[in-house]
Amino acid sequence: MSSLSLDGHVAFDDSLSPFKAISKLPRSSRLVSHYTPRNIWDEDTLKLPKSLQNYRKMLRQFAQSTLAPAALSGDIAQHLPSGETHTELVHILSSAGKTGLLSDQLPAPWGSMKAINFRHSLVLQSCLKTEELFSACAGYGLAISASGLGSLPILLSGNLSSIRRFMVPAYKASMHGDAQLFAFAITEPGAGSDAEEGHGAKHAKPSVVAKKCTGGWKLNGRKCFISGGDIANNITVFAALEGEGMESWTCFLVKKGTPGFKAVRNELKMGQRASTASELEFVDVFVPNTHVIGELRQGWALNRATLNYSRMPVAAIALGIARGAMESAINFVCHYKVAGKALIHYQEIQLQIAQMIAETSAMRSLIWQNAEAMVPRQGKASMAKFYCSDGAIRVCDMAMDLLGNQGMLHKNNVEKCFRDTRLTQIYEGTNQINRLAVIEEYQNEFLTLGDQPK
Amino acid sequence: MSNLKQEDLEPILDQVKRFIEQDVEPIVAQHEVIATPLQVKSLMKSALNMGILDGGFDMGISIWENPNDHLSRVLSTQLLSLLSETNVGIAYQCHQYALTQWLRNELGLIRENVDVLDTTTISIQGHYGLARYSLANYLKGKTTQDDMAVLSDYFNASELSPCHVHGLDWDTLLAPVLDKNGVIQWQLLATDSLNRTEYKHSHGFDEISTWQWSRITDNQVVINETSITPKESKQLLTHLYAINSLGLMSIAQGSIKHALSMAKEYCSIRVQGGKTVINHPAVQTLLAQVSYFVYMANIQVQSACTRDAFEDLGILSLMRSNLHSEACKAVNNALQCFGGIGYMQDNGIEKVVRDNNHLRLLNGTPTELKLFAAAWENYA
Repeated sequence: MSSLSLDGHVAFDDSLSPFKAISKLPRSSRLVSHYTPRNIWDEDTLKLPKSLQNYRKMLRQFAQSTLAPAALSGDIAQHLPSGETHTELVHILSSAGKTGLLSDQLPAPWGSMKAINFRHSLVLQSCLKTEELFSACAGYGLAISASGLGSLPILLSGNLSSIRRFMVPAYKASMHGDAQLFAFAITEPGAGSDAEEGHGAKHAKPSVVAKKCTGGWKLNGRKCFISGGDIANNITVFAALEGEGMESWTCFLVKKGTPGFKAVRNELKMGQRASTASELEFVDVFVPNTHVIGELRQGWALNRATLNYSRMPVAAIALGIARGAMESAINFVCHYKVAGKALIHYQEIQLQIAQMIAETSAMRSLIWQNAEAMVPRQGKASMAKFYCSDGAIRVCDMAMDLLGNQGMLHKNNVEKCFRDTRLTQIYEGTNQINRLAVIEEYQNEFLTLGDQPK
Repeated sequence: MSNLKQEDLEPILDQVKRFIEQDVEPIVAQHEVIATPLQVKSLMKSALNMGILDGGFDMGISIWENPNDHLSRVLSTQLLSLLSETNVGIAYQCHQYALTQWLRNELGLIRENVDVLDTTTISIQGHYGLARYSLANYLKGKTTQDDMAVLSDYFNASELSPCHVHGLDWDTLLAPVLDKNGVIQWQLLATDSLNRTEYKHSHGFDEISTWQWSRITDNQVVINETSITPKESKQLLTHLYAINSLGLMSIAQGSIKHALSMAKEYCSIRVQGGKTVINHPAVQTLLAQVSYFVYMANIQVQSACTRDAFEDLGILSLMRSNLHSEACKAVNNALQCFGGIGYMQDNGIEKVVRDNNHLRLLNGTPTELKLFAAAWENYA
């Protein structure tokens, strides 16, 4: 497009342009009113501290150069039996490892995070990471970021020995290109939401049970929908102790190849298809006492703390996918012509683009504002998660509509974005469960209010 | 004139239900296993033999055999709705086939071998949207020079701006073209005079493909071409869009009914927090919205079949705009009732979501339909 202005707007150098007009105000006025418009991504990046600006730039560079070119083919690649991996995914995981994206929960030399970045919250950095990765490809983005979710219970256990024994060797291997992944296994065939909500957990019958044996524990049962469960080297498995309920949940680290442990199948998913969601089977899987993460019966706490850390990045996942859809749609309307004019010149198109920019900006503001806290709060994390994932669906709908009858073509990316983002309304607790998590956070306030006279 | 009577509908629909149970359901029972083109073709032949599709037998019961008749329209929408309760892709293929046959008959391009499945398809839409206001202005007979420029581009089907059709493989195409007098005519084109690309991975309609086609300007083989008057052209296209609107709405209607029944069934079994999920207000409110919309969609389709609505493309466009947007929200709510399992292809509900998105984008998105209606109602 070479036009100096879009239809319905004045050019930047027109005397009626607000930018031109304001630039002519006296210097003292200009100091508080004049600016030069920047592109959306740069404008947001500049709001971050310098070290995070660089981090965001690095993430974008990796996502756009490594994930984006493989996104469409990864989405329609043949569904493989659990444990088998497409070479493209192996390559991407290896690159992610070398770039430091599989080891960024620990500082150098144990991990890849720059020491200076520890001044900022881990959650905010995770959010920056997921937005960029998922804006390029949700499937590959999940394959990478699921590993960080899997290692969080170890990190949050605060047990330096576990961190040293399990995270550090995996991180070092990953940084050398040999991706050593983690997976987080809480969901059970009979307990989806029950694994993520206290009231439900009270009534749930645990499926995976740990029975005491000499030197450790034997796990039996099944977990389902475990992201990257079939390719992970280390799985943080949450199991109830024999004869007890969910309050006895304990986190066990199960190593790939342990006898009795098997990924029995990978799900055929609607989207995020370049990553796997596996059903895991445990038949008398021996876990030594040394592989218990945290203390016995601390699993519920580690699970909920992990979810507080991970739900905000899921909000950013939704944002990233929505941004990917928006960018594809903007690219389309700037190139595709109707009656000799690029679509972006038409007012009905401009209205929808503006709405998409507003929706994604609102999501980013909510995330960045709340993710800055060093201690993530359940209510804030959950509200960001459901607000952003609902908003992302609206943005993807608009992106598909903007492409019109070409919106349903896989090659145009936006339909993939819709399929990908639909999962964000479900995983890490359905949006209904996340709404209830907000209420749980503030229940004392409501109860106190209820006790007071009207 | 149709000989169809109200009392004929129930036995016809019963027969079609049996066809669906015996022939269609076994093929599409496993949602993650996509019916092959051969299987869909075989179903189409059965539908043709049963008279669900027009085989030239003048039975008066086929889809879109006599859309001028109210009862025929009601029957056609109910047949499509029934089919889409089982499978949207197959319902759409039947609609597309019936629409093509209707247009062929209107244009006088009668087929001879009626027992063989016709492999002509129809390209209803230009390369993008609904030509903003210009198509509505054309149909209303109030085109400006700008409108003619837009329409010329809209129906151009060049390599840079190809058009799309959805369905099984085809060997001839009925496509609109703007003639030198500014009248929309119809051409029957052979595949060897077209660039065409098959896309097997579209958003929905897994059973059929999306085809992109454009004209090869120096090798245009036109098998047949109409030479109709401006009045005939407008009437034909208005009718075609009206029938198409009814078809797409009834397919969406059937599919959300299906989504509701799937969600209700699952929620009555699945336990969370010590009780079946259907007892949780979070799920009840989702289901209530789906349920209400099933009711509303039924009323909308019935209302769209009435003569007043059928003859008012502006109203039909607004109905479609609303129905498809709401249908997408409803089936999304239905999926949400399933939690994680709803995201898996073998469950089937995610397919209904994709199919409804696909329906929303076909032949005018909600925004495009609103612009069309605005021009039709002469808001400007």
